[in-house]
Amino acid sequence: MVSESGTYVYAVGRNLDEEVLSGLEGVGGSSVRMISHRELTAVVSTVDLEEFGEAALRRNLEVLAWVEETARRHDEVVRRAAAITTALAPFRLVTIYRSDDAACDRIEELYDDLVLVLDRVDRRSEWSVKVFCRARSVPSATVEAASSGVAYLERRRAEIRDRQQAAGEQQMLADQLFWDLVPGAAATRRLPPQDQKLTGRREPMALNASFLVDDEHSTDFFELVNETRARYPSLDIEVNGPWPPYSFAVLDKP
Amino acid sequence: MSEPTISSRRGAFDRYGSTSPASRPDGLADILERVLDKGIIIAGDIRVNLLDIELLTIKIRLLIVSVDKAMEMGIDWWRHDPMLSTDAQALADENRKLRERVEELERDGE
Repeated sequence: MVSESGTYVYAVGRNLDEEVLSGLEGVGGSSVRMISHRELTAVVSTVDLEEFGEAALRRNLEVLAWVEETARRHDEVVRRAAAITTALAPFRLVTIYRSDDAACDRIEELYDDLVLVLDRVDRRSEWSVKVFCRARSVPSATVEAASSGVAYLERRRAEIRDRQQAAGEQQMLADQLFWDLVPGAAATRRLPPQDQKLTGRREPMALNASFLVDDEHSTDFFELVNETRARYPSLDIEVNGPWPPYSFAVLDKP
Repeated sequence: MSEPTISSRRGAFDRYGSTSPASRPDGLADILERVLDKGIIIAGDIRVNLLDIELLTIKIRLLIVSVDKAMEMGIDWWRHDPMLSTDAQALADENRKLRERVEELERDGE
């Protein structure tokens, strides 16, 4: 029995040159190709519905290793495509059609919206800015043996209060820092701060933001970030990018 | 920090490609919060049960957002969900080994 296949769409962009991406492997192993519709080009690959069909996806999406591999491959293809054009709108993971024609039909339906999105991200990239609260040196509580249970509890309470207050202040500083960076970007989005378990850092994340920055002004943006580094010594600022404009390639209406 | 080059066909891979490892974030959380939550979200022909996807994103989000918060809310089933981390599996294995060891010791003690 010949297994059924589908068309997996990674992104839609303008002025994409198929040759540059030739040989690039897509999710599930088949080669990435391009299909054109009007002046838009969709970056796609053929997927086996044994792995990417409805029933299979329901199963596979519950397997973190599968999700990770697929997400990384999806991201890789999007990055490679973004590298060869100025305007690219990534699609959400596992957007799959029955055929190339079906994908084109959907792109036609969304044509006006996609053009708007592409105009918005054209010659711009996404930069991730994460802010961590630097660990403060807290006077060691263990030096002096607790004289009594009550004294110990009181000291613990004071410590917790101090820590909460410090965390609140750092959160306010991180919010301020975000607003300091806003003028350097064409658009911004705040993502939920990530848990320490994921960042692998002891310091809590106070800000997880994305900035859509003009490619020709990225140096200015870095300068702005460096200035804030000096202004907020208690915060550790991590800049990461450029990302394809994932956070900004969103449709205004569903 | 290097300035990103404006993309052109030549040397294009410098912008997002593999030639500059520093600009390639490896964090799975960074990727997942973008590829699952952002980008163009439209229905494909292959309908994935949205509830499943929601569940998936909720599960991952619990990890991305805040484990502390989840625990405050009394949600901790994810700790035992092997899908969420290899840690959970490792923990399960470790627990099993420890239980076996305890049984062994108890037997020896008798």
